[in-house]
Amino acid sequence: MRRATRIVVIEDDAAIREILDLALSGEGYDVRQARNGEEGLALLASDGADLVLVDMKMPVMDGADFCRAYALQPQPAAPVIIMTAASQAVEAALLPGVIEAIAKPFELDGLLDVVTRNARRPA
Amino acid sequence: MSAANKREMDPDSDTLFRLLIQSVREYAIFLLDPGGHVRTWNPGAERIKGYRASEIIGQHFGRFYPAGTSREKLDGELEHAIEHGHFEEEGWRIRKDGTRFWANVVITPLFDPSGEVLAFAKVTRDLTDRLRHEQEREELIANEARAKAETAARDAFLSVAAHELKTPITTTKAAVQLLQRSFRQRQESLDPAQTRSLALLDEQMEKLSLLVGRLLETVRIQSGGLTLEKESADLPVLVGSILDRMRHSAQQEIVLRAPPSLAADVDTLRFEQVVVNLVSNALKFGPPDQPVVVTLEHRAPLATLAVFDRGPGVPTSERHRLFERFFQANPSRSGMGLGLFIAKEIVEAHGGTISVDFPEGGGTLFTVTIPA
Repeated sequence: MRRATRIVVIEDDAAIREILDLALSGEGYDVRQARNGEEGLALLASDGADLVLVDMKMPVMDGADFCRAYALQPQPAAPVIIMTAASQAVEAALLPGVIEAIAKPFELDGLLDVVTRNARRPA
Repeated sequence: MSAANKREMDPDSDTLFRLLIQSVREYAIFLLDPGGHVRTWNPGAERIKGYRASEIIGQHFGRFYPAGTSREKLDGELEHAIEHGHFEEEGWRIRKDGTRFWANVVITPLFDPSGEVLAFAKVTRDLTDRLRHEQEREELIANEARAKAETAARDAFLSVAAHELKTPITTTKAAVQLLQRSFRQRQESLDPAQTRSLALLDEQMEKLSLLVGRLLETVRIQSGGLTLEKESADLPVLVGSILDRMRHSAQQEIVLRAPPSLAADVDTLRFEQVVVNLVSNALKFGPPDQPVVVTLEHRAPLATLAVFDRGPGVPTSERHRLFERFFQANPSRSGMGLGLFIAKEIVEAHGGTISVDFPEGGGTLFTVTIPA
């Protein structure tokens, strides 16, 4: 049986992580959580993913640094969706590997649409 | 009259000199004997220090100094004058009535040909006004700096607060929408109160998020961070679609009068903010049974957008403050007084103008012009 589409959520706020996990799991995705870019990179190195949802502003390693580092990884990188303040959306969308930027606070239906559209089909 | 005659009639220079001293009222000019006792007095000295000649001649000059001034300091001033030909200082001095004044004092020793001190000339000016002006100016500068620092601190606070508020808003909004979504998917029927409660939560979170967005926007504008991404837009279409969305939640009718097309280079998201801010104000203050009228016109080289409501207007005394940030025409109504401030900043960044009129027949008319 094909495994479920795996999504790594990288977000420093626990409540946002949880609600995203609830919403995405409810849609049948396999969700893994990380609290900052560094944890996200480690998680992706060990587990891999079909899509990455990453916050822009985070301690330790922010979204922009994460995107630059993740784009340099040898294995095929999963598409990245970045979540950011509307004022930074353009800047965020231009980061390497980013296929879409979502302004916070997001509409859940819209976010789920973007996720469905962009998640790689698991191997 | 011959020149010789004229010279004879001229007063001698001693007389002239006495006249000079006796006429000067701006300076206290007087002599001290070698021991420091007052020997002469002029009207300037009387005006500044308050003593008449008869009261002060023969008194030691230490009397003009604040109580507790040491004899050493006083003698020191005279010795300094003898040694350097001059002593000058600024300091507090005391008038006859006990009040103090800020004085510039110059003491000059007068020597006889053998080098003996005959007397000291003392010239004193009252600089209290100048000192007060300087202090006032310094205070003004300090106040301005403090006000600037306070504004900066408030902006920093608002920015942090707005950012921090955004996170729980994001979660709460998503949680409400997740609930709505799962009820929808399971086709569970909610009773009207449950449906309405969820809708209210969603709607109010949206409102909260808008307010927080405005706060952030204001801080950004204030720190000079408003940048536009202009594109060519057809204003009737753009404004029409904005008004369509606003009609959903509006009590009043919103009427749009516009030409079939009117192109202008605008940052569409920013321009939408202007329209939304002006129209939501009109809806907020206008009576529920009267339409809000939005008019677009092309008056080359300008496009004008006018928003008219039949509300109570704004008292004359407060009109000049309408576009200030945090100004509220009616503090009892909701809002933070940022809408018009933001609208003005955006319009001006487009090279346009925004103005307000209160027509004779009543109501409020906001007019925006931008290059078209």
